[in-house]
Amino acid sequence: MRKLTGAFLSLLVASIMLAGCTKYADKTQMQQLSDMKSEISSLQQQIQTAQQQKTDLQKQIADKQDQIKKLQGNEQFLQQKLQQTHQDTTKTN
Amino acid sequence: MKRLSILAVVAILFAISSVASAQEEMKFDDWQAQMTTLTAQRDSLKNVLTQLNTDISGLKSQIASLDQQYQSEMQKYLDMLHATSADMQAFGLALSTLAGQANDYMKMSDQDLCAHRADVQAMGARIDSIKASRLALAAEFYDQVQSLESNYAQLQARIANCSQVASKTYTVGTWARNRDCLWNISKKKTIYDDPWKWPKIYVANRDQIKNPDLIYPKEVLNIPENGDLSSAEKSAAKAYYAKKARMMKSNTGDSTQPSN
Repeated sequence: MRKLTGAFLSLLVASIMLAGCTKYADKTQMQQLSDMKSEISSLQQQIQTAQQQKTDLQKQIADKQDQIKKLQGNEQFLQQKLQQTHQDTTKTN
Repeated sequence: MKRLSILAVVAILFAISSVASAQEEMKFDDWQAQMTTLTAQRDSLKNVLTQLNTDISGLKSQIASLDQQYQSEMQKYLDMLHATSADMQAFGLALSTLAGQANDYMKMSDQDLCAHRADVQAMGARIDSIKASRLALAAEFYDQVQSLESNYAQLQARIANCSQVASKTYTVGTWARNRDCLWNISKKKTIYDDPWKWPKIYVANRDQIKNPDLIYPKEVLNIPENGDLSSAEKSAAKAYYAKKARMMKSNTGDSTQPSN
């Protein structure tokens, strides 16, 4: 019986000592952690917006390149037709 | 035994409260590990964002350069066409209108087409004017002009057969004997039995009737099939009545019906 009491007492003392020795993060440090998480979340959002903007700009560039290509094609077409018309006129004369 | 029970309860309560408080708070080592991981993640994200912003800035300047290139190419193209953007727009509109009219005529029966012979023929001059422009050679309009020309050729071929197609003709008699004017001809039971349909005869014979008040003996008029007045016939009648009204203002006593 005395041995059992001793064992309980030892367990109690050991758990008190164990709890007292562990170091925990204080309030300021926890606030730092929370701020860091918010900053990361905000950065992720900014990246998402920037990626969308980049995609839009890339699409705009592709459209503009197509427009220029089409315009250059039209110029070539007109050039051909003007030459053809000129040749036809020369033949007629 | 009682002391032992109390000690056991105290020990269990203490252990439970220690675990609970450990769950609420974070061990310093864990905090430090998390901060290290999150700092690395934040720095990496910052780098990604910086790179993206650099890319965006590059793309924006590329767009500005492409805009400039487009403007320059467009100016070159317009110079080749001897036109402005406004000219191109106006040409496109005129061409579409004409092509629309030609399509409408294409859908008409030979009979109706013959009734609009003068209008179709008038299109020829407008088509020639369109073809004379350099804009007709522009890729945007070329196919449409070719199609218009082809449609017009088909319309002309159909119009050439108009005299064969006309179901009826009427040879104008003299005013003294037959009282023939467009109004009276239209009123005849053998024609339309309705004097208000005179514009049908007028429009179908515009090549020989310049003024609905003046038709001449021995003229052979095409008589289109009976039916409601077409929009061209209505507008011809409207123009006639407007002209008459103007004349009546200066000379009172004129009638509003076509007469010889």
